[in-house]
Amino acid sequence: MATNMFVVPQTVGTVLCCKCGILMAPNPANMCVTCLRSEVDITEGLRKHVIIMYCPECESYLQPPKTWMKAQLESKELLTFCVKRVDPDLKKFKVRLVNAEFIWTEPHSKRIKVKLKIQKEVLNGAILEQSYVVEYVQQDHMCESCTKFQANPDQWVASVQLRQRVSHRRTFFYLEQLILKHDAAAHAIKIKQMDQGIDFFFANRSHATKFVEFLGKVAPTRYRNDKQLVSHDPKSNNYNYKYTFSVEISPVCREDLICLPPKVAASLGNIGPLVICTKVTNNIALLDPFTLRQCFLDSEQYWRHSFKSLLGSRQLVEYDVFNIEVVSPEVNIGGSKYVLADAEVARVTDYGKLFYIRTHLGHILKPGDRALGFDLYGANSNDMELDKYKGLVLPEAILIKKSYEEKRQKKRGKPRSWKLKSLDMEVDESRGRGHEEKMNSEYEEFLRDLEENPELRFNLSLYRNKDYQPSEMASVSDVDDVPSVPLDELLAELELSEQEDGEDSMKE
Amino acid sequence: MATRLQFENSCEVGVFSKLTNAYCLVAIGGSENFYSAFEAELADVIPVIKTSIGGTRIIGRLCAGNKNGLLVPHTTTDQELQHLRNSLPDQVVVQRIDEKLSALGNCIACNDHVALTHTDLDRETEEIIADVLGVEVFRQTIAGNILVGSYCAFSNRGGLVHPHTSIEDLDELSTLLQVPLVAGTINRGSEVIAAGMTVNDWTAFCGSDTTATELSVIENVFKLREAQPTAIVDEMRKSLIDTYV
Repeated sequence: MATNMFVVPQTVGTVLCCKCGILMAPNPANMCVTCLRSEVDITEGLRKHVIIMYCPECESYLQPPKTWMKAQLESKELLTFCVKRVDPDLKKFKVRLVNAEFIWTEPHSKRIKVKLKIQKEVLNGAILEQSYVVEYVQQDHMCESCTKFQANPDQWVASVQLRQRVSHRRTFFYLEQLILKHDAAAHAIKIKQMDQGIDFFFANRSHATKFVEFLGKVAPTRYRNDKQLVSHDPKSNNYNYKYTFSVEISPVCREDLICLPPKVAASLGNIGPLVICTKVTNNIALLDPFTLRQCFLDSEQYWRHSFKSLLGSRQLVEYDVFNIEVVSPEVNIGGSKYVLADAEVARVTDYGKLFYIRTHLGHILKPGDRALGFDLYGANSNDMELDKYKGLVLPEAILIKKSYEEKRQKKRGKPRSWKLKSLDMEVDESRGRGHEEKMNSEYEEFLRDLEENPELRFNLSLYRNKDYQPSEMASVSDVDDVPSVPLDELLAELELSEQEDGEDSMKE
Repeated sequence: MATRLQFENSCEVGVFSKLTNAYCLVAIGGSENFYSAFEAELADVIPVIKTSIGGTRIIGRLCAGNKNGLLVPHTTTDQELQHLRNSLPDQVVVQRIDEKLSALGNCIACNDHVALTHTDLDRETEEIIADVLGVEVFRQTIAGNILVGSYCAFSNRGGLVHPHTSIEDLDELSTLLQVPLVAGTINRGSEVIAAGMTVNDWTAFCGSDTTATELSVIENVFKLREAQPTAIVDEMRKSLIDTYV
């Protein structure tokens, strides 16, 4: 419309309300609001009382037909839930919801009151707004999972029996950390420490399968499963089974010496046959310490032959290094560096015999260092595979890693600056004190391994130890190269406790 | 006095009847009640005629008229026209109009002196209205509605218009019509005034939904309380007697 046009000003007149006769501005119904209210109740037909199911055990509400939803009182989620319960009504009566809010009720009154404000079109297009209160009555009704749990908390449907047939538990310490990091055993009902392994119990077969799959991704495993019929209902064709998964981890561990069977060695390009296992994930990395060749075996390849290790980490012997002569340039294999070197070493326990050997640790060993290695000279091996190689000349010693034992002596007993979480495991108490001590020393060894090997802790979560206070003295004297975990790799633990909050507010 | 009634369960009595100071048209219905109500009120004074227009019963919306004449749309059949001519008093001129807006009752609102019309009505039609009904014609809207015949009802004594009419419009209209006007409703808040009621100088018929408040507004603005035909005669007599005495 042109702006310069003359427009007659329009004053809104008044009319009498057609019912009560009071003066009011005209509206589509031509009725004053009070009369309109008395004429039509837009909340008519809407439910004012709703019964909701509430599980007192897990504090959740039943979202029909089957879902249980956790919600706090007066929370956004609960309001959504409450509104959703009356939503079909609102749709049916073509009412628009404008606002919803809680009216406070005693938590133990088992009543939730929600004030809803609704709009509806009435009488030739007049829109009426009205608020009303819906009372939700909480009826206690235990949810299915809680009922099951109450009846028998240990009721498991599937169990995973994880085993490794070796004399130490190093692998399980590592696996425990991996499981924690990935929260893989979150659904486990019970975790039980067993001889040579751990048992996991699940309430659901699918949880167990998922867990087994996880294990297959982090370790060279093979598994078989079985089921046992518990009960069955022939009328409805329901069968109740208990499932058991038996998962076996390969007995080959990191830093083991292996004599490869001739077939495997041939298939890997005539490697070895004496090799060191350098890394175990879902495949096994093998290194020939004399030629610096590396190859990988995936779990399928491994289980086809399933060889064992010749010597394990418990047979490591300490050597003194007298001389090192580098023979090759530095070689980078699979992310780690190696240098071939000729070394002059002797056992710490027996200086009477000097060994002139070849080692792949030329880059870290210096004359005067100590190293851990396998004493093939003194070993009396009766390995089947070794006997198959006729005319194989065994080296007198094979060094595996540098030893920090001497330098550690000083630090013994001091707390670490970091710590690990642990799974909530049931321990078999009947095995006696010796067993426990052995476990502790193995755990200590595992922690040391983590410190020495950044590659190993790459996959794990290490947490800052709050109790640890670095002393000035220690920091000065410990400049030498005992490996430790840098502070920036550590995670701060999430801690929620009301008491601390209270203290904080008091400080303010 | 205003009367409340229904036409076959419909409260839109203005649709099915046409009331002027000289005659009353009533639709032919299945039931005699509607007709009897008019008959009871008006029979002594003016003729009440049962008719249809163009074969339909919505005669109130199709024709427009006052005491001087009656305008019917081109859909009116010859028989109907003849029937109307026969039944109406001689001084009332009945005229059939060729106008494309054939719902004349919706397009024209009039009393015995002034008519408001739809803005798009033909100039010829306008002339015919002026001639036949003997009125001044104004093209107008009421509260933005062009169907002036539907949204207002007025007699020679007052008028009721659409409730949304602004005060300025009300002033302008009442200056044009030279009668007091008021914005109001009929049939419990309905805005289509002329559909819900039909009115002349001394009586009004409203839909039965009309509330007491609405009825009192109507009686006040149309001055129906003092305006009984007998009251008028009484008034005259009194003055006669006065002069004689």
